[in-house]
Amino acid sequence: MFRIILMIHRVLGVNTLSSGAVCVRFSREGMSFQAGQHILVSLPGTYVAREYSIASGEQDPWLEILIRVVPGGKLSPKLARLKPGDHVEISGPCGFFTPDLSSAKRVLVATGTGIAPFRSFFRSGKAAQSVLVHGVRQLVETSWFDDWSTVPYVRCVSREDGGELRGRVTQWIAQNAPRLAECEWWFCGNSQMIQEGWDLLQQVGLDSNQIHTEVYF
Amino acid sequence: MKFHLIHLGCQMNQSDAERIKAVLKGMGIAETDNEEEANILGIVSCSVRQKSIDRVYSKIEEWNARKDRSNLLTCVSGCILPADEPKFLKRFDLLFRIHEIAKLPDMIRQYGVVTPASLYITSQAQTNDPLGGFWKVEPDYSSPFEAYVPIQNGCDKFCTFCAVPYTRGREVSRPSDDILAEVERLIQRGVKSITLLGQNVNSYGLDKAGKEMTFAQLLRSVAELGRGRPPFWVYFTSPHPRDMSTQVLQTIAEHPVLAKQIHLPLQSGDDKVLIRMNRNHSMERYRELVHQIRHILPTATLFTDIIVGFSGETQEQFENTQKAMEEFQYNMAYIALYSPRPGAASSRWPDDVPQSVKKARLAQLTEVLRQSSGDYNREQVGKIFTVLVDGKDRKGQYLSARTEGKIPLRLLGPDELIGQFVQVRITKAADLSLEAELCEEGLRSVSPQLEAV
Repeated sequence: MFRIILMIHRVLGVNTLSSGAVCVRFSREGMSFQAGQHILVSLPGTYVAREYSIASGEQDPWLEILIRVVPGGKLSPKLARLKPGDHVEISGPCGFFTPDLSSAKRVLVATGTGIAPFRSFFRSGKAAQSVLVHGVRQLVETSWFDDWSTVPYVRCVSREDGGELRGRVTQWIAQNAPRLAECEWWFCGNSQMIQEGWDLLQQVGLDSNQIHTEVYF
Repeated sequence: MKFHLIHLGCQMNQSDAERIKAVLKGMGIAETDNEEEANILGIVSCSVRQKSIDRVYSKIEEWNARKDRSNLLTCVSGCILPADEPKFLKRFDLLFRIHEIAKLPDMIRQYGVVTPASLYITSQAQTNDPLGGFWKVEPDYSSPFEAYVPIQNGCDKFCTFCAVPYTRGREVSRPSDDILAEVERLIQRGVKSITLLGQNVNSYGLDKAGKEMTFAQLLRSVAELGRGRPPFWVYFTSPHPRDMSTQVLQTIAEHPVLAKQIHLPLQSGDDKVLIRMNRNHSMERYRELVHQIRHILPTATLFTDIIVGFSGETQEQFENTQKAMEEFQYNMAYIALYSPRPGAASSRWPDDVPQSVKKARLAQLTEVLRQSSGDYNREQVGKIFTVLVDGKDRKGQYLSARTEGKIPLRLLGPDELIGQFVQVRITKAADLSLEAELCEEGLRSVSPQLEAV
């Protein structure tokens, strides 16, 4: 057995975003990464590790992740209860959901905490000419960050008014895919949304190499 | 003093076991096939399937039950999920990680097992290499003419059906100097078949980008070692479609010593299932690769891995896999029924395709495989091949052998040919194998590099 190489990181802060999600900030400990990559997080002395996309920027002095708190989950409820000064074990970074520095126009589609890697794209200066489409149930989930004021940000809110669209992100894709068929499409979030989005883009003739996906589970 | 070592799972574990055996034999402890006469009992564990983990628990219960009537030392290593580690520690006397292999003699001595030879073994100094002295251990190869050479450990791909990233950790490339030195030693021993091993061999070097060779460069260097030497074939397994490059295929084409056989795991022929599997490539990408293989390596055989009944796989998605198999015309496909692997991400999803449906799908894909493989095999009848004789068939009547493309065949001939290259003429074809006869000149050692089929 080859031991996974773990680093101990200190918790710098925990920010409750909504009743079901938190943002945890850790000390960086010299870790370098590319926007879009993920890390494995576990608590010292436990044997449960989960992958989380890095939500902070490549140049930020800390690491941040967004956690959807799964009721009865083995790890996320414990992570949500962390306090500044606590420690976690982190392995990584890993993953290939990483944009290059090209000036390609990108449509970034996320559901829930799937917005994390895109937040890293923006904070790392890797999302020029991008539009961000975010699917949530309630409007409060779109106010998690204050970074969006300078970003084309489409809020698709399924259970209340107040966003740019009342409904699911797939409705927005169906309406807008034909005019954005030359773009790169990046999806992050639950697999059902990604699969439906994939079908819609195939219907308008997008090449599958234009589509990038990161499934949350 | 004798030991008995069981290895479960893949070739990586076999390769790990060869290194553990070498260390134990270096201590003057003899190997035995008979568990009952062994004093040290060990398992190189596999966490890929629950069945393997169950076997570890079953074995250790059996061994611990023997402890009241004999002095036994039990040990475990290999792929172990973090969650299983404390459970194994309670049951086994020793749990060691493969990178701790150089310390194994010390660990065993601490249990009072001291052999004359072991007194002269000192543990290797700690190095900066994350795998410690593991790569440096000269393995006790299982075969005199075939060898596995690990070039990499771990996996960064995080396919949702697989637990390897959690048991073996991140991808770590073995120093190319070490690899080339081991290959050189194998060539000097006259080994005929060398397989470069890793979870994703074609991402070799990416963890040390700029400081280590790429996989194509490594293949080229290995091939250069074969120039002007007795013939041998070099294989590699397993590659990931994401990292397979044109340079790798061109390198194989340019060097006769690099076998014209490609194992390219498909897993599913449906884009949406590939997304759920987190395979990080599309069917289009896979199709482009197969076209490249057919163009650059027209004589290469093509093997694959497929999982049927993955969580959420619909009938339509399965049919896409069936169509992909028909399109790509594989020579061999290792088709597995999906089962949730503890620790893997997909184990948190429902295993919602009934077992009967999985079995039916497997049977359908097997039929497609038989068709494509059989078509290829029938085209080979009458042709002359250089083959490597690797043993006897199950009944002991025929010799078993394989072509450079790893198509199995049988032929009549003396046992002395085992471990040799011979020339044969294909006389019969079945769906998954061939039958051949020795050519007149077949008894002399031949050079596959000079073969003209």
